Amino acid sequence: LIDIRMRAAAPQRPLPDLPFHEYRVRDTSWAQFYRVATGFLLRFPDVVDIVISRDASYAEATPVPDVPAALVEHVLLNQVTPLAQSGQGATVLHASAVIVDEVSVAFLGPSGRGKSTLAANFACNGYPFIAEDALQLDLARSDIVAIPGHPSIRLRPDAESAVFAGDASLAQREETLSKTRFASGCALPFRSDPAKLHCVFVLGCETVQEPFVAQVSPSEALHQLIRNSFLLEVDDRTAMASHFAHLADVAERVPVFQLEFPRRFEVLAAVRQTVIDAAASL
Amino acid sequence: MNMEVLVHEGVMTRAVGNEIVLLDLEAGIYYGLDAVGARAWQLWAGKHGFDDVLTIMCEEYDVERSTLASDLTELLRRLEQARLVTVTPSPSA
Repeated sequence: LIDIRMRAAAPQRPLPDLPFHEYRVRDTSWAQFYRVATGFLLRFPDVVDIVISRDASYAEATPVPDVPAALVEHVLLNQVTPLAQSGQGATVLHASAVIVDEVSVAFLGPSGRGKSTLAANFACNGYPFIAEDALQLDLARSDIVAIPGHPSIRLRPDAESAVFAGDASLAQREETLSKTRFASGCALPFRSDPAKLHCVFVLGCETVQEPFVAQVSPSEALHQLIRNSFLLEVDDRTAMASHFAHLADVAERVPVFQLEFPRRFEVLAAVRQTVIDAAASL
Repeated sequence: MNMEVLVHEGVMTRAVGNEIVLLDLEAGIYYGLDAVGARAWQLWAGKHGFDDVLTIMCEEYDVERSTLASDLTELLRRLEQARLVTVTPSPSA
């Protein structure tokens, strides 16, 4: 767990050093990682500064004046919390996950591949979601276990219409910038207990006519897990080695599939069935 | 001429299935080796020289020695270029 305290809004001041790491989205700096005396400073330009303690157990967030609270909350939930969990040694994937027959199946991939849409679509059809954007794993047991994340899902407007079939009033909603966050409830069931991770689907970006799955080799699986996981200390050899070993453990113990599907909302039911069939075949 | 292949200290390896993934801890870069490359890596890391590896793998795989020699030379060139290994003449050569 991480204890996050909010401070009064303040403008972001220039920093003396260059960041040791950076996330960029469409050629724009989305998050910058700095080292400071007490640990780390994560700067989300024009949004919020977050100082995280060295052991990643405590953080202080200083939002930029007039930034919507929902945007700051999104950064804290979907970026800072998983990064802090990784800083505590946890394995956290950039994935959503749902429950099918009492085990969890995960959808792994970068932003925009459909993780949230699939999770919401499964949930609306009786398969509760257990995580939306960041999936923490417990590797210490005989089975790898998915830990429940925040009980909400963020959807773009077009996905919202497709998932809720025009009746989003059933879900509790909160607007952020480009997506709407929907709280779990009877329209969007959430699993609040850990569940064995049964398999992982890497969401592809090929142009295809029909949904299909193909199992990937363990080394390709490891590459995909590395690409789509959170790591706070990207320049610390011990942390990197541990992260690598944990993800290799996942690649060896959990089947990983490539999932390709047409980018049309009307095929969501077919995608759902393809996933269910593939999971049942294991 | 037989050659020795020295794996750099900051390289972490992990066999997954019959393949190997390498992590260069210094640069933070990951590399993958397929089953054949993984076998060569295992032998080089086990202190076998280039010619020894060639002989062993010719017995294990249905391949012409010259073809395998060419493939292993290219693999070594790329591993050296990525600064994962250093290739030196064997002292006994």
